[in-house]
Amino acid sequence: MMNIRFLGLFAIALFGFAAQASEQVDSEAVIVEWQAPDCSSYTSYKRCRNAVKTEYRRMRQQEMKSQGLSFWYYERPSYKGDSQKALKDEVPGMLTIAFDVEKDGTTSNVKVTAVSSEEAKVYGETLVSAITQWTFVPLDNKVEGVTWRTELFFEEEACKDKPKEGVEKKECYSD
Amino acid sequence: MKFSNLVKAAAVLLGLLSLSIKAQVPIETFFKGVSYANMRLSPNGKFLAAGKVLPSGEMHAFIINRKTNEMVSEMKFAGKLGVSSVTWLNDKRVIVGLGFASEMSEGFGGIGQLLGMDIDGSRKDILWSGQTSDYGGNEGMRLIGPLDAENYLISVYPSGSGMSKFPYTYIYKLNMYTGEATKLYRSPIRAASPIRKKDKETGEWEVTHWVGKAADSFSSTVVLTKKEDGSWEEIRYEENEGMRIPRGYSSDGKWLYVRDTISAPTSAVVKVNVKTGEETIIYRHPKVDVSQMFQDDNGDFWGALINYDYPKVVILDEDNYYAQVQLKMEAAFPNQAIQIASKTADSTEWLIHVSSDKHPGKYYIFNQFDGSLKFVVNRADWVDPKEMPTTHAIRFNARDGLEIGGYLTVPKGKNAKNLPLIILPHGGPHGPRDVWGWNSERNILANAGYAVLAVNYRGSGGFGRNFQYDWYGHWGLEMQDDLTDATYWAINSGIANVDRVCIYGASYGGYATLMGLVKEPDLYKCGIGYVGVYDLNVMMYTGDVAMRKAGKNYLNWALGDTEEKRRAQSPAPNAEKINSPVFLMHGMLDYRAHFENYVVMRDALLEQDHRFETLLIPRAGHGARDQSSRKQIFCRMLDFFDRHIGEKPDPMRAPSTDCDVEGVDPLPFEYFAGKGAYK
Repeated sequence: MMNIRFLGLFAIALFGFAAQASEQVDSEAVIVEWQAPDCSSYTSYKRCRNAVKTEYRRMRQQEMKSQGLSFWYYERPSYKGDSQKALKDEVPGMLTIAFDVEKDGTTSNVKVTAVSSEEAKVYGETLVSAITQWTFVPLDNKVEGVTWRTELFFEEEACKDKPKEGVEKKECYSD
Repeated sequence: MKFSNLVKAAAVLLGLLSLSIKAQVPIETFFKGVSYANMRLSPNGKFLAAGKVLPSGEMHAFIINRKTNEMVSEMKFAGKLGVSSVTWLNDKRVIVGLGFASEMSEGFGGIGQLLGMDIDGSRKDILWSGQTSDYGGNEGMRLIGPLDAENYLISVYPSGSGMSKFPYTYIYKLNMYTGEATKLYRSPIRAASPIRKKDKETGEWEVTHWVGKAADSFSSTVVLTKKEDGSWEEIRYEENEGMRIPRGYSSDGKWLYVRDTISAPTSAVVKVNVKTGEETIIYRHPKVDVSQMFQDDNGDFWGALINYDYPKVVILDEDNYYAQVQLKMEAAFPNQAIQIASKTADSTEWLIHVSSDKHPGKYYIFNQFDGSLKFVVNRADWVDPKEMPTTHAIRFNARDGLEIGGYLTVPKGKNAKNLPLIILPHGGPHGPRDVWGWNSERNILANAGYAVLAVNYRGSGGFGRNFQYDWYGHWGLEMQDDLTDATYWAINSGIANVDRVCIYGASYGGYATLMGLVKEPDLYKCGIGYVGVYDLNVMMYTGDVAMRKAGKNYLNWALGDTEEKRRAQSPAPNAEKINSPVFLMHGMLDYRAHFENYVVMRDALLEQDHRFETLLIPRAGHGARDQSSRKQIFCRMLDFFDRHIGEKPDPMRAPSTDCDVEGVDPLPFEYFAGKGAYK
């Protein structure tokens, strides 16, 4: 259990500014180009991951403020079954999820609109079911087409403190 | 038009008048303990666990599902126990520590029992009941930290071992599901805590240091350090000369954090590179010790909490995201103290405790995604901050130039001008200090119309080792003069009415009260000593401090090493110098400032045929815990102050007959008429 939760920390959600999801809600999820963040300029993978997280939080706060959205209840995705296995196997990917927020603060039309690969689709259900649980502070007007971007990226095996057998360790970070 | 304006003005005036009359709130407001204790977020943020005091007095530990706001698990227990800690073992299980209501303070003392419960209400078990064969009775314990997914490391020590004993402690492994306890080792030095480092390869914990005490001294710290060859090096530090105390490792094990008071009198947090030994001071304040340090997810320090005037988080890195979050929260709650009570494992949500001089505290959730704070619960919804007095931090220079700080509490609706004043020296004296924040004692007195000045006189803790240790043996001397100087500061700055000043304190504060009356017979119009020390020579052979070698050494150092010196610095042998009305209150079971202190002070006042009053609390030790006792104590105190420095003071007026509490035997109160040596 402990291990899984720790892996969960590697799941980074990013807000999509560019995607105008409202028109895409009803369409199938499209495959989009995506690259994991480049961590080579950081002194450690942990610092890189935390920096991405912080950057995301800053953007998120601005975006939610402009939309008048404020969490009443936020739920983390809980990876189970296939998505838990994918996390364990370190399957990377990016997913964009779109949803509406009703006047009473509940979410609706929660859908995966974009995904970085076929393999990454495995995370979709987990993310959708978490967002379905979210509640926002009640609103005067329904907010449509909110997008949520989740990135799952992992440290390259050769960069790890102790790479698996057969993988040669390399220096990946700056001093 | 003009007329109606006048009417409006009159109405506003009347409104103000009635407000100032209503400024006093019922005294019960201050006696109720906070209703929620130790609220904590589960690691996954789905649940909140906390303790709650029920109206019946029962204690209640519960878990709430945040999505549905429903209670999903609970435990109730009777008796005078309080929830002293709430710890999430994992997303499914909570560990609740129960403590006994402590003397003097409103919190709960050390852990007496440990209970566990799951979020679904199952597996409710007593995990630790304070019984081992090591000490053959009730033992105290402390959670050191998690060992693995199911086990915690705990430190076990004999109960009732206060400042007078430094026993060896036993370290146990405690299973948080079964309660199975396995003794791992006895501490190699007295009262020791292990400093552990996790081996990155094996995941095993290694003890690299032990930090403990010496048998013969309260003010020494002994550090055992494991050397490369596996042997242990022992260093004994004296606090008055400075110490280097290891506190723990960074999560990557690369840095050892050390509290240093050698390189300067105030404490610094220093990081030491484990490989190279290279050192960096992370933070030190020139005047006060560091209270707390704050780290981000990388382990970088972004802030330091200090209590110089007001509690303040000093920002160490302005660009740090969490530092910016702190500043944002401070902007949302101006003039309040913000504490991070707990965080989710991914630190996306923080449970925030917000309190002030006017309120014991409310909980909020801060969400990192929307950057906003949501109210969770009010710990004391019967306290209206708008009705509460205001506490200001003050500073002045004593007669020799030394800077002294204190806290001035001003009654609601009054200007800090020409007020009746109560000087309130804290107990200790060496180690404790007063801080800004909710304080029911100060607020009870201010609510009754008095300005209250709590002074961090020299010898207090928190202002560096020199400020504290240089003044051992100076009781009744410079330490007392600081209180006198504080009184004159308040009078000369127009805050206090020179004819309406009294002094009151508990323990050392009781000593300082009676010494104040001895040394400044014309300054204080009255004094109340509560569980006080009144004869330093009596203190040398009575009470629990004198029972131990370390205590005897402390007393020789702090009280003075000759009988003559101690006599000169004691109020009871100098009672003939007292002019002002005295009120003594004492617990008959007090073994800290032994009851004998009360007896000698009473006899000395009787011998002088002095007019004075006494209130005995038969079942109380060093301070009364019982609510009905505390109500009678404060009723008697307020009546005493009212007769001497109240709205219409009359020192000859008979004491109130209205202080009994329904359903309990009144505490024995006596009025010794004497010949009334009042001026």
